[in-house]
Amino acid sequence: MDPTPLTPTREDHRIAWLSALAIAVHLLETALPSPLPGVKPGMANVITVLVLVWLGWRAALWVTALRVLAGSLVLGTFLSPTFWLSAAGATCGLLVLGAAHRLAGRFLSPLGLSVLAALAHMQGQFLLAWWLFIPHPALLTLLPVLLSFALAFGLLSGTMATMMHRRLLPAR
Amino acid sequence: MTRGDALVILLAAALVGGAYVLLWSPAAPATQVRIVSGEREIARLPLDEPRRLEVPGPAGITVVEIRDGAARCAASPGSRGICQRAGWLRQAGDMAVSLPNHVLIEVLGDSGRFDSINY
Repeated sequence: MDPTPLTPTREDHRIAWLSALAIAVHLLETALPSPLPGVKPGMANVITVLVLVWLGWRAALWVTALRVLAGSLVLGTFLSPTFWLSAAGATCGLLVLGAAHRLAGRFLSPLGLSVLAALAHMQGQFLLAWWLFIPHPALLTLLPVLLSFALAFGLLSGTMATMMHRRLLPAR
Repeated sequence: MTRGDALVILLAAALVGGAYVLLWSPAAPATQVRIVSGEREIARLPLDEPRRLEVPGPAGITVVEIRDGAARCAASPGSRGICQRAGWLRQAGDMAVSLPNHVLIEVLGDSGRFDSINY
């Protein structure tokens, strides 16, 4: 009796490629020094947002989940605090992206989506850090600074996503 | 950039600005000082009456000075001067501690900024 062969679909291949790209960006970014714990440009977000716009929320969920999982395995942070912070941020970002795309997708370009995702990511990661790791009121003093970075990097990654979206649109 | 983007960016900027206003607004000014020596609170004094207080401890005497709505550790036997370096304590919740002398100087407002502090 033959086992049912698993034939990857075209979409599976696409998701695998895009995940590999996101993981590469994620790893490269880890090598950059960071001024503050929790502050990262979040350029992998460019890919999440573009996948959301091109292939829908389910694909974005796959690409992000694979990136967080495989990225942490490669970096050796799987199940460590870093991993949970990353996962919490990614989950919040995806939820907000999903809601924004569904409710206001027609009005938002990748720029607006990226800004939303960056802020949601920072909030998710901050809330987990506060709730689980450092339940100290003084941590709240850091939140405005972290949100400023999130907004700045959201604008940056959103601009990149918009440029890539324009350039790749005809080829897609 | 679409109009939706502009709206999102405006709201995001408002959120960030709001976070600064909300979380960085100065704490309540302190109205009284609490001095703890060892395990016991030995004094609770209003900050509007200037005075100097000598608090004895196992390492010597810690001098607490109260003036102009603030309190400070003016002198303490600790060799590293950590207690003095806390400076004038003005905002509710500010504190100076001399570990060698087991003295804690804390200024309080009408309502505390923190419920508790853990390290």
